[in-house]
Amino acid sequence: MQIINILLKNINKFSKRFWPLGSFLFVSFYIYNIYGSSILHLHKKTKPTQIDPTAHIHPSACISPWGVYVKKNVSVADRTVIRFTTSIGSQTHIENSCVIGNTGFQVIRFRDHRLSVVHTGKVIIGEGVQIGERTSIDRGLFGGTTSVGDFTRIGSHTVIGHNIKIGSHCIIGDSVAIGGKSIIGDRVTIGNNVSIANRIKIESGSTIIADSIITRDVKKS
Amino acid sequence: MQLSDISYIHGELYQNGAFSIIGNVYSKEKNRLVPVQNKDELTHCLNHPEITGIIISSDHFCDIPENIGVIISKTPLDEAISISKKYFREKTSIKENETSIHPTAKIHPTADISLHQVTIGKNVCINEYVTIEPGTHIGNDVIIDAHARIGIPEFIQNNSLNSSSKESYGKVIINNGVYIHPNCTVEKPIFPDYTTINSNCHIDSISSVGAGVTLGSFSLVAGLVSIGKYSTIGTRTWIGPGCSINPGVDIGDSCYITLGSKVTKNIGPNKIVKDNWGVNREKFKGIIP
Repeated sequence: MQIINILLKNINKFSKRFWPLGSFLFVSFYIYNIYGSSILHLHKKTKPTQIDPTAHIHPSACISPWGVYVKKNVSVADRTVIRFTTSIGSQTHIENSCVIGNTGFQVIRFRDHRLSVVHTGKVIIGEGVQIGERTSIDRGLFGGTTSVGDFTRIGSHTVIGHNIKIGSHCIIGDSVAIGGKSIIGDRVTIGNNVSIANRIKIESGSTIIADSIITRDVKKS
Repeated sequence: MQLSDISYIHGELYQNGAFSIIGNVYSKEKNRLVPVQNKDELTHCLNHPEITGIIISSDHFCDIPENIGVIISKTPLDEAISISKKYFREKTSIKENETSIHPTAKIHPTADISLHQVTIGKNVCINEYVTIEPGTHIGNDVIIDAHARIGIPEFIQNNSLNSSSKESYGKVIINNGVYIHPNCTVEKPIFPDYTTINSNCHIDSISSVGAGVTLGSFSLVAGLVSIGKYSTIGTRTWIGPGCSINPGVDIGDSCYITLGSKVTKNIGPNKIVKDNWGVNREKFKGIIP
C-alpha cells in the first residue's frame, strides 16, 4: 500500500513543474464534484430515515431525515450530529457532541487553488460499539465506506478519517488521529495520543503503546 | 515612557525602565511591558532583548538584570490591563456595534452567535452548535462545521476574583474560502492583537489555533494539531496530524511538518520537519498524500 503513496507523491511533484497535468487533475475533480453532488441529491430523497422505537435519543441531537438507519436499543447522547447515509447497529452507545458522517480531508492542491472533494460514501457502525465524546468519523470517498466493527470501543477526541476499516473487539484510546484508507484488524489495542498515517495496515492481535507515531505497516511477528 | 510615569500602581515599583507598548510574552513588538506568570516565561523574557519591562508576582521573583524594569504585584494581568486602558485608550476601547449578517448566509438555528461585534459575509455556512463570540470578522465563502468554538478568550493565569480580568480586547479575522471542520477552537487574545486565518485554509477536526496566530494562506492543517500562541505560519504549508507547535515559533513558506512532530525552534522556508528538529532532508521515507 505504500507503493501507491510513493506514486502519488511523484505525481504531485511532477504536476507542480508540468502544468498541464496539474490543471487537468484539478478540472477533472471539479467536474467530479458536480457529478458527486448530483448523486447525493438523488440518494437523499429516495431513502428516508428509519429509527427503531426502542432507541433512546436525546432531543437535542441533530439527525438528518434522509438515509439514517438506527436499530434496536441504541442510545445517543446530547448534541450529537449524524449526517445522511449512516447506519448504526444495535446496542451501541454514542456519547455527547460527536459528529458522524462529516466530509473528510481530501483536498486537491494546484498552485494557488484548493478544492475539497465531495465525499459520496457512507458510514457503517456495528453492534455494541461505544464511541467517546467529541469524536469525528468521516464518510467514505468515491463511494466507499468507513466501517467500525462489532464490540469496539473508541475513546474521546479521536479523528477517524475517510475509508477506514476497523475490525471487531478493538480498543482505541483517547486523542488518536488515524489517516485515510487504513485498515485495522481485529482485537487491536491502541493507546492514547497516537498518530497514524494514511494507507497503513495493522494486523489483528497487535498492540500499540501510547504516544507513538506510526508510518509503516505493523505485522504480528 | 518610563515606568515611574505611571500614576497609580496597585503593587510596587522595584526597578525603573522604559517601555512603549504593552503586550503578551510571546508577541513580537519592541520595547514592551509584559505580565509574567511562570519561571519558563521569565527565562523567555531574559533571552529576548525586545522585552524591557516585567510585571511579576513575588512568588516567581528572581535576580533580574538592571536593564529591565520590574513591577511586583499579586495580579499581574489586572495591572497590565489597567495600564493599557489609561495610556493606550484607543486600542483597548470596546465599541459596541451590532452584528451584521449578510442575507445569503445559511445559519443553523442551534448556532449561538453573539449580538455584538460580529460581521458575517456572503455565502457563509454555519452548522450545528457553533459558538461565535464578539470580535470576529468572517469573510465570504466560509464553511464552519459543527461544534466549533470561535473567539474564545485565551486563558492567562490571574489570581484574582475580579470579573474585569475576563475582558478581552483582541479580534479574530477569518478571510475568504476557509473550511473549518468540526470540533475546532480558535482563540482570541486578551491584549488588542489579531488572530488571522488567511484565505483558502483548511483546518481538520479537533485542532486548536492559539491566540495571536497568523496562518498563512493556502495552508492545510490536519487533525489534532495544537498551535501555540503568537506563532506565524507561512503560506502553503502542510501540518500533519498530532503535531504541537510551541508559542512564539516562526515557520517559513511551503514547509512540510510530518505527523506527530513537536516544533520548538524557528524554521526557514522549504524544509521538512521530522520529530524534534528541522533538517533539510533529501530522502524522505514517509507518507504524504
